[in-house]
Amino acid sequence: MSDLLAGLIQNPGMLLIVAGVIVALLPGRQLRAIAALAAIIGCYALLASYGTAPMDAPVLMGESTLFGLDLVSIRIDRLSVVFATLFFIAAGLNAIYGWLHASRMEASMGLIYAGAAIGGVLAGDLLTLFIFWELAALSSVFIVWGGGTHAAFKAGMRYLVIQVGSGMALMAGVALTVAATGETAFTAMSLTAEDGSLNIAALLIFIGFGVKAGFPLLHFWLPDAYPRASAVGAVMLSAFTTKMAIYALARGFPGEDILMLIGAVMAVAFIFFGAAASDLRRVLAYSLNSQLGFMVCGIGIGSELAINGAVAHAFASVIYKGMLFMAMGAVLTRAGTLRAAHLSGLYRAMPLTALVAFIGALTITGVPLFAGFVTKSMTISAAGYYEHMLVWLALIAATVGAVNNIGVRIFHDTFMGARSDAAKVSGDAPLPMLIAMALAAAICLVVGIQPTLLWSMLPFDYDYAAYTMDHLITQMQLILFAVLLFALARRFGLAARPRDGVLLDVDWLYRVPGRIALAGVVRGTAAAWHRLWWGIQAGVARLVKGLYDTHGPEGALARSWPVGFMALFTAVVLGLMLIVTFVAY
Amino acid sequence: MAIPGLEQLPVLPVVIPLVAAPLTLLMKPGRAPWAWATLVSWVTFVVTLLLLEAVWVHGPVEYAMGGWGAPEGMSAPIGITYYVDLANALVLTLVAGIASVVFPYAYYSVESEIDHRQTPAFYTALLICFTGLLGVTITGDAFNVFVFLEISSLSTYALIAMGARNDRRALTASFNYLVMGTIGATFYVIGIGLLYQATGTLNMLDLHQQLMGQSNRMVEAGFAFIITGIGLKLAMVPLHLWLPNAYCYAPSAISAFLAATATKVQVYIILRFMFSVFGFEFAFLEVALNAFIVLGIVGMFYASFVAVFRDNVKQMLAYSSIAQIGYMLLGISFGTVDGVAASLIHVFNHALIKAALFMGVGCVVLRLGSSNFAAFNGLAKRMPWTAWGLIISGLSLVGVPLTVGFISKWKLMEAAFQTQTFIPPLLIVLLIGASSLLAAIYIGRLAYAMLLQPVPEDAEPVKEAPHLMRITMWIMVLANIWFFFQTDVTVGVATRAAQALLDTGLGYGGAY
Repeated sequence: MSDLLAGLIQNPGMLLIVAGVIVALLPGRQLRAIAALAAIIGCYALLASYGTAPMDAPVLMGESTLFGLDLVSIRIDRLSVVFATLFFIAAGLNAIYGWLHASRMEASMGLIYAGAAIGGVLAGDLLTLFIFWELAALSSVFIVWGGGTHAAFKAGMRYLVIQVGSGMALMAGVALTVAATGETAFTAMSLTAEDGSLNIAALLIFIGFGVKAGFPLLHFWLPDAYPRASAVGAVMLSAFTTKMAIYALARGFPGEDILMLIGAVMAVAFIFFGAAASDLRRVLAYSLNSQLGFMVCGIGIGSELAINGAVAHAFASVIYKGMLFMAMGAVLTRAGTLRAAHLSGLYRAMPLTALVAFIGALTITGVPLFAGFVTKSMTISAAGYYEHMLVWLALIAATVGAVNNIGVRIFHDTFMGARSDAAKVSGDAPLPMLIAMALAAAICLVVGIQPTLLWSMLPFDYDYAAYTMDHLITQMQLILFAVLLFALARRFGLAARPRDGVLLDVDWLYRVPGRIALAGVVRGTAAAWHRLWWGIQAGVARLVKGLYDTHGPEGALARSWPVGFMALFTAVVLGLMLIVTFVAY
Repeated sequence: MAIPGLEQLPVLPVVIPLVAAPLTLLMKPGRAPWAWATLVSWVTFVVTLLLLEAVWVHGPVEYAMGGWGAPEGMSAPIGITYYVDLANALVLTLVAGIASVVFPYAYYSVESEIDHRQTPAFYTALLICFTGLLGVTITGDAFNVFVFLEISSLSTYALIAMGARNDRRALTASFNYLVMGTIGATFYVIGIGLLYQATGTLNMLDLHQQLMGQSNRMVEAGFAFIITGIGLKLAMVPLHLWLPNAYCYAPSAISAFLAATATKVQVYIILRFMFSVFGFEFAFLEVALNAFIVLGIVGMFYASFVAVFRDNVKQMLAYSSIAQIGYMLLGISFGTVDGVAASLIHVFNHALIKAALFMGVGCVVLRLGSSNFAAFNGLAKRMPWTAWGLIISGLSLVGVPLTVGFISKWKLMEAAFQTQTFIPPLLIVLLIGASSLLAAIYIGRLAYAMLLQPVPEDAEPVKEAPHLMRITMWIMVLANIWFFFQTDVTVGVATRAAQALLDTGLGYGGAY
């Protein structure tokens, strides 16, 4: 017993989970927030004391066995440490952001969730990874439920099923790996076995990772659940689950070619959905999913530069996406709604939040001096250097899309313009929220201005210069072009200001290269998707109803039957058994 | 083989509660019968632990009742023998261990749910039921199994009927169970009769010797009767219909005790008959194993779906038990050491899980008088210890790491990958995964009600359950975590026990 427990306890993530349980017992929001922050700092100090190690010589700690399988609680190398550090920063920001607004459940489950993600990225073998994978799934569902509405309950249930399903796929894959090889080590694997056939174990693990990473068609839980959490909860959700999956893909499947295709589809497709959504946090969720496409592409390319790019972008993305979720959370807290059609001109009442949203927009679109510029250009360069033209185009398109989704919809339409009724709010965001947002904004700027600080943490030593004339010009052209399009489209009335949040507000972006065709594609995609989605929903509803009719309390299969029937049934079973016996032999 | 220095040990687990039971009837209603039953369960638990240790060290123990062992030159003993190997030593320890926690727990629950004057009778019946379960497990004589089966069943009918003070439906539930249980026992005894006709012996080990190579209509019919009879007692789908109401309307402490022990003992009997008595030489065994795969999988899904829609938590848990029996049958059906070990491990782990869950529900019934979902709304605020205990043991039921449920599921999946059945292993593993998703749904529903639903506005304030109930419940909850880290007992013992069972089944004779 003791080895396994002792091993787990050395893992800072596990300690954070224990702290989460303790925080649940403390009275008072302030006390809980202070305790949470202290726990995060303490656990980070423990991680820092372990130092770091190069990729090819990881330091392993907390080794133990569970029924004959070797478990390694902690693997320290540059890939795991950078993700763990990132998660600690995110957890700290979340604790500050929720200082006054986190419920008891959110404060405690938030810590457990962060601890599970940290434990997961530090895990040295597949079983330990699975342990934390499940804990992350189970703790985060409470955060979705924390939204408190019936819609949040139902979305949470769907989220729970898909997350536990991801865990089941991972567990089946791990069990198959162990049955085949007896090894539990979590190292790079391949979807094709040595003889060229499909590696089923790796495929199951891949699907498990893919669900959490928001692969297309496996992604629907993400925009479904995130917007339904509370203001504080959505910020927590945005940081951990998907980035933990990105880490797992970077560790398990670097250079897997199919990831480039998946990533490119993710980067582009979700922009359309984001543009179509009317809830502003749903816009952010789709945008987050699109940004994940960047990282998945980078992992698929698999070169040192590309992996570095994926990790760096994950780092920046957690910070700026968290910051945008914080800004929207602040709006939700003050205005009580996030429906795009009801919000405009908020900058008068909430100037500081508007500034944060502006910085977020600048970061995600990749304006120089902000973190997004340096991290995005790495992946884009890697795609270009290695001659993956389609990937390169997809990533460029995704950047342009981000200008619309974040720059226009989240920042411009919400904060600028005439003041709507819903925007007449009492004041700017509460102080702790502002502090958290300011810290996040500072990180975006520091990384953008002094990228070598982040470079030194990345998995591989690769001398990459972000601020070359070439990159600056490409990126600025791209952004200015997109902004110009936007301005022209608005000026000539080609793009009406989105009022009801249906699809058509994207199409100004695509007018120049062929307005009708592209608008048609957008509409067609969305319509097909909606038909598919509604079809699935209706199908599921029918299935559940059918199950209820048969298995529900009044259903034939669940009724209390009279004893005579039971006895008769037993006789039938016995008769069958006897017939089978006599006929078979 | 006898244990040096402790020759009489194997008989004690049955004799102690059997002698103690009638004495309980003479006591004054109230504390005394409860304290006495608790003491007896503790002593018995210690005895079974000693027995488990002795069997682990010295190998299987045989005890000839009254010294009526095998005379010179005869293979079979004349009288009844007790035969303890690791498989039944593990189940014995489990039954006694659960009893030693549930009996102390019962006090307040019984005080509130049962007529005060009936308490001596209640604890008498409880001890008799306890004796019966231990006897079924320990004996090496096929007819003696029937006797103990009836001892435990008859007392169980009475115990379930005592739930009538809360809900009159307990009476019909008990009556239905009585009819069905009697049919099951009758089938079993008919099967034994047929085997006796064919072999002239009732001793299990001797039966195995005599049956080797025999395969005729009489033996086959005997096999069919025995499997159907025990299948009914086991609540194997589609013979499960008596179970949900019996567990639902029984007094809370009885639900906890029966859910954790009664069906587990039947799983052991099935294992014993399939591998130790009939063995792989018996051609029909393959057919039965294939039937178990199908019935196991059908049970896993069908009962889980019903559980998802139940509005009464006790019934939900009862249906969940039927689904979990599906896992155990699945493990047996693989017919491998790993599969049988997985089944035994799940027997042990599921007992811990269900005991903790039913004990939690018992606390709610004590304070709120109902086990409907509505009573659980906002429970985390009203009774935090109970609610969190339920959540942790619920997670264990789903099979989350850091709880024993994970060990069960992992071992079952691992075993599934190494089998050759008519269903591809990968499909079986995915089905196991899919059915735990269903468990996640019904446990999720319970967790949501307890944590996030508001407390009803007109609700009167309630106190937590009494310390005694909370502590005993939490012992079970912590056991769910402890045995994740301490797998020597479950995985170690179960693997060796399965090895021994299968060696006998393959005709190598008992290895231990």
